[in-house]
Amino acid sequence: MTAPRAEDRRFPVGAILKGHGLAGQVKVRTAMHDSSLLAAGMTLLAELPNGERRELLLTGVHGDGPQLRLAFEGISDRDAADALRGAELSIARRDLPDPGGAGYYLGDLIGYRVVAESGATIGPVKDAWDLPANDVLQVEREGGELLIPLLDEFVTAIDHAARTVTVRGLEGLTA
Amino acid sequence: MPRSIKKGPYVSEKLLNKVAALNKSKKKQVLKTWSRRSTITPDFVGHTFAVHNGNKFIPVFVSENMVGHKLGEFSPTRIFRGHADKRKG
Repeated sequence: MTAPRAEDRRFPVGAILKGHGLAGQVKVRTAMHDSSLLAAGMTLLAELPNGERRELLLTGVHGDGPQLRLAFEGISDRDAADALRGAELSIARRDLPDPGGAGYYLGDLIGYRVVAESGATIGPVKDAWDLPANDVLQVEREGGELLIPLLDEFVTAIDHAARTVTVRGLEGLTA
Repeated sequence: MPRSIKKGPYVSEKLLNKVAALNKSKKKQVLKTWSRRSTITPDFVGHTFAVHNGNKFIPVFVSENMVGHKLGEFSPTRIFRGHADKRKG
């Protein structure tokens, strides 16, 4: 299986907990630290617990922090909102605002090739985690996986054009 | 009830000795530990610990503002999968 192209990749937004109020808003436990990235007019994909997938046009974002209240076009009463309960929401990478300059989204690094400073390939980035102390790259390599902190001490360069992450000093790191 | 001030913060003695040895030799090395309950002391700043979360060893780079917290606080046992967070290049 090949990894999806960067622009086709979807990033998780959160999970719908329940309906909120009578006007069709839903309460969402967000998977984003910066909910200001969400704005009316964006299209989110909802994957319902029964396997159904629905595209929902965002018409309102309320609140911040770990729980948000979202409003969608066509969801105008409590029953319609409650029907979305348990759905996992995601957004296409291309719909997110440009991170600007040399910035990037953490999820962009998934699929990048991790290479040592000597040029030896270590393996592909399987996942990227935003953890309390530092970001961590989960790298698949022969004989198991490797967790590499996304810090200057370990990651010397990220080349978005070549889709590579250059690392050093991995002694002692495991999974 | 908080831990008595008389006792001082708890730090695994093994870990403390390893950090002291690294500081003495001025070497940088990732220290693997299961001691999630150890308090981060100022000696730990600048070192990277691989802290076990019950499944994996999560790399934790210790900075100044982490002093006084426990190592386990930075090695979550449930991974938060949010990818839509901006990073500076």
